[in-house]
Amino acid sequence: MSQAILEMKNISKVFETEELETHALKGISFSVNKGDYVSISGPSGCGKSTLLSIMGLLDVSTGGEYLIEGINVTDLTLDQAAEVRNAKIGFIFQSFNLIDELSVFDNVALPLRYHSDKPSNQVIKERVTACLEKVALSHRISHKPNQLSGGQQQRVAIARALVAEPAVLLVDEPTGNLDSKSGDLVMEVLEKLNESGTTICMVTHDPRYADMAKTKIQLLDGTILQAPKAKLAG
Amino acid sequence: MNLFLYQLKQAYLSLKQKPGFVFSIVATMGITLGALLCILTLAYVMLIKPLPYPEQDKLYVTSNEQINPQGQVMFEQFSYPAFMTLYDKQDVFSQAALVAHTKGVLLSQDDLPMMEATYVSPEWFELTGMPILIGRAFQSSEAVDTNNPVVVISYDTWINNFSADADILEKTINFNDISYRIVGVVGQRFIEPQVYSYYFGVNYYRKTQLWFPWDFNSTQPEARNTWWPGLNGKVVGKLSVEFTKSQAEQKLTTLINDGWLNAIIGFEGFKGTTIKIALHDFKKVIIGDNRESVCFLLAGIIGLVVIAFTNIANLMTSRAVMQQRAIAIQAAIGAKKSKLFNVFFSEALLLISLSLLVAFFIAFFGFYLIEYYLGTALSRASEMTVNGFTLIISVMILFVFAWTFAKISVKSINNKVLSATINTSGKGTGNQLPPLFRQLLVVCQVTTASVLIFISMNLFKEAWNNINAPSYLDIEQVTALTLAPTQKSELSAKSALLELTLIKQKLAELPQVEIVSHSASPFAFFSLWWPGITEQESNEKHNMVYRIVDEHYFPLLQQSLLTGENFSRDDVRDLKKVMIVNDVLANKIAEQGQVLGKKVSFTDDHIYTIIGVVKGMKTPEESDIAERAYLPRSAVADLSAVEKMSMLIKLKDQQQLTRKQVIDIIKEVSPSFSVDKLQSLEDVRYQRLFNKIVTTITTALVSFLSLMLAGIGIYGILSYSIQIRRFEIGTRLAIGAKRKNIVKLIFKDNAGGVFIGIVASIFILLGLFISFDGHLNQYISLEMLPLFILTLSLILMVSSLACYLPLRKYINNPVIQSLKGSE
Repeated sequence: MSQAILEMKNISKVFETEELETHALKGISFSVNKGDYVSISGPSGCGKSTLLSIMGLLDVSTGGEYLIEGINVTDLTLDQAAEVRNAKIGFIFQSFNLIDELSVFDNVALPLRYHSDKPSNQVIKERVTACLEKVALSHRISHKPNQLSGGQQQRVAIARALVAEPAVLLVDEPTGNLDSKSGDLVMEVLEKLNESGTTICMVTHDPRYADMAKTKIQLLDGTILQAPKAKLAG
Repeated sequence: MNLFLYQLKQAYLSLKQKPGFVFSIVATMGITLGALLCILTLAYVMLIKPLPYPEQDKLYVTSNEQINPQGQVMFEQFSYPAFMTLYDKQDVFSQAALVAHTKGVLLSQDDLPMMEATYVSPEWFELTGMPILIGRAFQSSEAVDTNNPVVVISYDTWINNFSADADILEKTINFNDISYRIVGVVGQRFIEPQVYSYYFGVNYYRKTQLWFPWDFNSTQPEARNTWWPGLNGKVVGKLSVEFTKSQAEQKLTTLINDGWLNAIIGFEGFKGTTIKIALHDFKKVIIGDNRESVCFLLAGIIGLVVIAFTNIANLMTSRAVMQQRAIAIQAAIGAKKSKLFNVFFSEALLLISLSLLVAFFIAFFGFYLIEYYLGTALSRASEMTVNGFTLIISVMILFVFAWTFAKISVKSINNKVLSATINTSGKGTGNQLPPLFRQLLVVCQVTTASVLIFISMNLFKEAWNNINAPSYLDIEQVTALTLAPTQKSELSAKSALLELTLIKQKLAELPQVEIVSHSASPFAFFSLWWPGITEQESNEKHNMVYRIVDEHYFPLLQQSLLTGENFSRDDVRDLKKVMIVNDVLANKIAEQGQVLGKKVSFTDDHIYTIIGVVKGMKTPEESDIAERAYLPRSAVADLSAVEKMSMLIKLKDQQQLTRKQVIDIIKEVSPSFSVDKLQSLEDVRYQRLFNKIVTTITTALVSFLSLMLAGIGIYGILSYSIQIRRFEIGTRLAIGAKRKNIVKLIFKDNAGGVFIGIVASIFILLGLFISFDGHLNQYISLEMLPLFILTLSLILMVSSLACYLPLRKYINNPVIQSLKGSE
């Protein structure tokens, strides 16, 4: 039986302003199993990014329950959430979000610097090098992000997401800022990672890339429209 | 021109959309530029502007320096013979005038007002270019030894005392029992030179109401023949072109010193003393010690302007970065670099113009405040107004500031406009000011603020300590009364004493009065006995000042008697030769102050026995307690006028005594006296401490403004810096950084600028200390280390808050808030 890494139970999110109440997510339930490759797609404003933010503990849900590796993480404090993000989740953003002032090595090493185990410099070096090798960028270890192409920057971001050996990679429109060739290269890296056992959950609006996932979730107006391959919770 | 107007219009429309931005700049710049214009105008008037007198650069005031054998200057006052010899026989001045000030009662008016008067020789009018509104100035008919009783009155006196009577000429007034014929009224625009403005460390501002010929000056006949210095007068002269200042001093010294050496033959106490005549630049005499205060104020305000300038530079460049897209579009469609500069220049020009408008209002308000509150302390404050100098400075500020802000703005966007904005791929962390520029702004803020706050706090501490120093007296409900004679011919000493005693008794009988002492105010100048008293046993001389008091003086002021006894009524009545000394003098005379019974002499036949020791008291401006002795009233025959005619009145709780009540009592007892001054000692103390109070307020204000402006500035820079790093902060949080990690990171990143600023301020302070050791002793001293640590703590606190406060919204909310828009 597959082991559920993420479990979302009846998750909802409401954005409130003085005049308006917007229901971004309406009772979303699904789970992501170890080794899974899930794509979340749908039209603009359907709640994809909101869902991914809640999955990554970057935002909190208004209702429902969220478990990571069986532990309820719905009501964590900001610092507890930071610890979970550091240990369990790897992020890949649309705009890479690399820090310009840091070298490729330091960008990739960053999650380890915040790790509660405080790994030694030697360990950090080994893991960073290994991750950069996985994305075929070990020869760019001393470069600054602005010396790299967009595709290379996104691969550095992938290495950074992998370095703390998270339970799941959360990927937000990884090819949104890339040309098709670079995008294909990045998707190829992600596919290989999944093949080697990495659990991936990706938001994309590109049907070509969504089809590469093993499980496809389609959102519309904050609800799951179609999840033919997804294992719906509850 | 049309293009320039178009750009100004565009700038106006653009700024109209940003009222908060405009308000921040206009308020910050307006207030600081207002203060700058005000103090610059003051500095111009005090330090640069020529005096409003003909050939003012050739005018000098003479002083008669009596030098002891050790080369120290003992007195700077003239003796009457020296004074007249200098006037009569000098040949170094093309013109010389005699000037002496007095006060007296205008007996010809029913309310017997006290008037400020000056005795002058006719040359005074010409030397000062005094304008005459009606009648004439003094001329040869009022020259020395003509004894022509005429008077010229001031414009204010004409308005206030004579209701601007157009037929005032030839009318008579009675001043101190002499009738004078009015021959002239001075023009309104005359600014009287304050040649007496600085005397014994205290500023005196006098506004003469009546000018009399020199012959009627109040020097007593016997004093006119003695070489003992004590004349309250000045010789003012216009230096002839043939002489330099030092040549003139040499010539006048020889002229006067010969007379002095002849006069002291046979007086052992004066053996070895000489006279030197010194010439003092007219302007320096008038400005007094205000030069340093003005320079400090100017330095302080310039510091504030630097801080404000840095703040505005940050705001302007931030705005430039925000406008980058619009600028980029202009650049893309062909706008040249100079055109982009003009866009920023027009905006800056409008903003600085608005700020200058506000600044002028503030400067006008400052002129009013300075003249109203500091008019007596700053001798030329009344001349402050917007003049050519202020306008030139304003125009310079307008263009220099506008140009600099525009230049900085262009520089901040220059390299990014084309590459970053047009090619908006959303990569990286967005547009921002170069980190080095931000660091530079922080360094500038921290350095200026640290130096300003430290120096201001030093001055504040010194002034505050002075204000709060204990006087060791109880002056609550104590009023000092000074009487003035109403007749030219003085009463005999016996009659005067009798009448004054009667006045004292009548005052003491008033229901609101607790006790009256026939003694001068403890804050009035003490008499100096030079070359000091001699202790009989050891034959040692001791310098001191003394005061004549009665038996009620010490109990009335609650001045503690440490040992021995107070004067008794018999001591005073029987003219006993007893003395009370303060503890400072007692310790000088004998070890551990064991002075009771010791005998000291003034002269061979004036030997006094010390019967008591009192706790030393401090006058408001004293930093150390002086050596003082007290003698019973009448023990010394030659009392000064102040001591003869002064009384201290202690009122019962919550009681008051009006000038009218005192005048009525005096009228009832004697027509020989009038009220000169009736003032509570609390008020006297306040007046004497006024300069210190002004210093305290000014320095506190400078410290506060420096801290506030620097705080706002550093907050602005760091807040902006954090704002543009929000995606980075969000990313770090997303990959697992805890809040403390982010706080540490931001503190660490900004510590460099703050640290460099602090180090720079230490170097500047050390540089000032080393370069201006003599001049800046009172402002900077190594003993002020704790104060420097306090200054640094304040700066660090402000910097820490500036780091932490803008960070809160990113670290205390879900991470997604920081990442919004990063794609």
